[in-house]
Amino acid sequence: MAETKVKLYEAIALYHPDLEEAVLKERADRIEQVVREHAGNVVSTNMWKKRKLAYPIKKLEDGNYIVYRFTGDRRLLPDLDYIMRYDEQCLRYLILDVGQYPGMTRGAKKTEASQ
Amino acid sequence: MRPQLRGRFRQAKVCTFCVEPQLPIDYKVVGLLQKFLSDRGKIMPKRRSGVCSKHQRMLTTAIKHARFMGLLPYTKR
Repeated sequence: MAETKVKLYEAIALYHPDLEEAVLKERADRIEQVVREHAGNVVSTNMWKKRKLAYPIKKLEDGNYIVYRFTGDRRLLPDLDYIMRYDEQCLRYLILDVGQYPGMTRGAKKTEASQ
Repeated sequence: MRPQLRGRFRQAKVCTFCVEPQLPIDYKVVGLLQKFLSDRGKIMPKRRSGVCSKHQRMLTTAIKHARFMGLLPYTKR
């Protein structure tokens, strides 16, 4: 039997630069909805302003980032993965188990991009 | 008379992250990670940066995540 252990996860998604704020918000809401459907809890949703990419991705130079932090058990991850994977406006995404990366929880709450 | 230094003078290196435990090793804190990249965008070896093995491991993972997300470059010209 799969264990239902609640963990803290972080997901970051890179969206197309031409998406408007309302559309991005819609996508953020969809993710939050999925987390809640699986009895998870959204800790924070952080929308970064449009920023330049370090290298072009799909010939695009800029991108919109959204960082989600949520708690829940791992059974919500495949659904989340599915949404991001098949969203054509989502260029890249990454889902991390925060507990696996002790460096992320060190000290200050300096989670904002420092630029 | 000036004392002569024999050989190369080396400064003692200490791990930045051991000295400052509040510094996050996070893929999102790009400014800090950039200090551990060479001017070509390669990850700096710990023999050069002085970072200890434990923190070097965390650092490389963070840099690789940041690269994947387009926050840091794989190479620079």
